[in-house]
Amino acid sequence: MTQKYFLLLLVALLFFSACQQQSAATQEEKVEPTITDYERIISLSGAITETLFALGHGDKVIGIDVTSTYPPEEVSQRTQLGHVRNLNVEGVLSLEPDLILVDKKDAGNPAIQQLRQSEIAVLVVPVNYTLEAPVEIATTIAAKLGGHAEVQALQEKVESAKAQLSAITADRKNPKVLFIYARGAGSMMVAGKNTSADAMIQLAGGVNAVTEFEGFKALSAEALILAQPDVLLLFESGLQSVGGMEKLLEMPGIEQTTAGKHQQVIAMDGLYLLGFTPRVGEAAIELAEELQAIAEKQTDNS
Amino acid sequence: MPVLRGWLLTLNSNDITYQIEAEPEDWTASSAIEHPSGLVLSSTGQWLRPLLIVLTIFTALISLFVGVYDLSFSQIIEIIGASIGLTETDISPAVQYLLINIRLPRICLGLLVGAGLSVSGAAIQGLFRNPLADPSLIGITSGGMLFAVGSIFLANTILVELNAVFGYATIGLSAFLGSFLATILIYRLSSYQGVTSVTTMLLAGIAMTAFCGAITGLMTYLSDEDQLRDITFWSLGSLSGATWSMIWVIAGPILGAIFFLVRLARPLDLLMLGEREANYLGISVQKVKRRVILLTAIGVGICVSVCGIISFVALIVPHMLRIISGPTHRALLINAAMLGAILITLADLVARIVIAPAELPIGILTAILGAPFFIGILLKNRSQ
Repeated sequence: MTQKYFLLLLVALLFFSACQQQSAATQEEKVEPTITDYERIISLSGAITETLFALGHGDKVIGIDVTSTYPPEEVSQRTQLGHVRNLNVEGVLSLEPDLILVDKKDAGNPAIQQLRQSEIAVLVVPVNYTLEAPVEIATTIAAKLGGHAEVQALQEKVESAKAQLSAITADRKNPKVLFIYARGAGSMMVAGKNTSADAMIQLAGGVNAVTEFEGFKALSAEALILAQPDVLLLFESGLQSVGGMEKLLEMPGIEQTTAGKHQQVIAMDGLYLLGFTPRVGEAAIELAEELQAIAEKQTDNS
Repeated sequence: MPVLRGWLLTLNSNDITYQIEAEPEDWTASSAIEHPSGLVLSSTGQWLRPLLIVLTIFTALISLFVGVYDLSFSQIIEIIGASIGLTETDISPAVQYLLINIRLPRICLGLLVGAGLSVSGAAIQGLFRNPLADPSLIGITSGGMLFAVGSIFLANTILVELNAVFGYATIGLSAFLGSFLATILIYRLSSYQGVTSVTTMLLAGIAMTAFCGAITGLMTYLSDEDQLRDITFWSLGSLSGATWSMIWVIAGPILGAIFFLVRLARPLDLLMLGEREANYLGISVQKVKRRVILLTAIGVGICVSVCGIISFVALIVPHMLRIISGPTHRALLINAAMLGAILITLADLVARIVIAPAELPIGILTAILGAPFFIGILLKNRSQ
C-alpha cells in the first residue's frame, strides 16, 4: 500500500513541477527588454537570419542555427550553434550575445526559456506563411535594431512582387501542384492544407493537389494517382535524397500522374522556397513562371 | 566455496533454457572471504567504495569547472559564494545564471540519472539472474519511447489542451506514464496465481518492445520535419533541459528508489541461488520481484522522462563492477550508483564541449564510448 501512495505522490509532484514551469514561462513573456544598442546578435531561424542581413544588421550577427543558409558566403563565417531544438545553452551564452532572435514556434522550447531567464534579451519573431512575412519579420526586428528605410524597401519589393504575380497568374487554368517532402526514397510526405508548401503553391497561382487533410502525410501510390497532380514540387535536397529526377519518375504511382507522364517536376532550394524570407517574392514569381510554362504546354497539348 | 556459482545460471521454462556461463572466479576475487550469509564477499570491494566516492566528487568538480563558457577558478568560487550570500560579486548576471542555473543543475541531473539507471540495471540483472538483462527488457524504455513519441506526434491535434497546460513537460510526463504502464502490463502478463515467472516476463518484455517499437516506427514515419527532429533528439537523450525545479522533483523518487533497492540487496543475493532455494531460505520471492520491478520502473521511468533514452549505462556499469568486486548485491548496488553517476556526468561533460558551441546528444556518446570499452572488458576477462 505504501508503495501506491509513494507513486501517487510522485505523479502529483511531477504534475506540480510541470505547472510551475509553465507559469514561470508565461510570466516571462511580459518582460520586454529595453536596450537598443545590440552588437552581438544570435539568430535561430533561417528566415530571421536572412532578414537581418537584408536590413543591414548582418555584421552584428555572431551565431546562427543550422537552418540559416543564406547569404551563404556570410553565414559560413558565423558560429554554427546546431539545431534550435538541440541547443547547448551554455554554448550560446559562451558567445556572449546581447540579443537572441527566435522563431515564434520555437519560443516555448526549454532551452529558449533558459536563455530568457539568463537576462539576455530574447526577441520572438513571428514567421508566417504569407507574402508579407518578411515585412512582418523586418518590422519586428527594426523596432529593436533600427533599419526602417530597409523595411520600406522590403515593403515596396513585396508590392511589386504582388503585382508581378497577379500579372502572371491572371487568366490561366491553375495547375494542380503536389509538394513532396522527401527524406530519402523510403520516407516521402505530401503537404496538405495549412502548410508552408500549401501557402506557397497558392501564392504562385497553383492549386494544392491535396485538399483532404491538414499538415504533412505519408505519400502512397494510390493517393498519388487519386490526387492527379499536374506538377510535382520538391526541395532540391529532397530530389537528391530520392536519387534524382529519373528515380523519382520511376516510383510507383508517379508515372500514372500527369506530372509524371510529362516529367513536370520543379525542384527549388528549401529555404528559398518555403522559408518565407526576404526572397519570398522572387521565389513565388519563379515558381509562378515555371507553373505558367507548364500550363501553356498543357494547353498546347490539348 | 559455497553454493554460489557466479553467473552459472539456468532459467528453465518448458523447453526454453537460457544458459549463461562465466568463470565464477572472475566474479569473486581469489582472496574472497566468507560472508555470514554464506555468500562470497570480495575483498577488492573494500578499496573500491572510497575510490568511487573520491572519483564522484572529483568528476562533479571537474564538470563544474570545465565548460564551453570559460570561467576561471576564482570566478566560480566568487559566483558560488555570492549565490549563497557569503560574498559580493560584480560578475554579470548572465554569467552567474549560467553557472548556478544551467551548469550546476545539469551536473546534479547527471549524477542522479547515472545513479538511478545503474542501480536499476544492477537490480534487474540480479532479479532476472541474467547478465544481458537491463531495464529496457521489462518494457520501460520502449513504453516510455512509445508515449513520448506519441505525445510529440499528437501535440498539435489530440493533445493540444494538455500541451497548453504542461508545455514541453508533456513529453516527459507521457514518457513516465508509458514506461510505468508498460512495466505494469508486462508484470501482469507474466504473473499467474500470484507467482511471476521471470522467463515469461523476459519474453513478454521482448514482445512488448517489438510492439511499442512498431507503433513508434509508424508515428515516426508519419511525423513531419519538426516532430521528427524532436523525436530524434529525444531518443538520443540529453541532459540539457535541467532546471532546479526538475531536480527537486526527481531527486526524491530517484534517491528513494536507490535506497529501497539497496535494502533489497540480501534477498537479491539469495535469489541468485535460484528461486526455490531463496524461498527455502525464508525470502518471499514474489514480494522481492514486485518491489524490484516497481522501484526500477520508478527509477528508470523518471530518468527516461527527464532526459530521454541514454543507452548502455544500465547494462555496462553493473558488469564492470561485478568483474572488479564480485556479485554481492549490497556492494554492487551502492558502487553502481556512484560509477553510474561518474560515467553519465563525464559523458555529459564531453557532450557539452566536444562540438561546442553546439551539443552532441549524450545517448550517442554513452554507446560510442561504452560499447568498445565493454567489449574490451569481455575480451580481457576471457583471456584470464
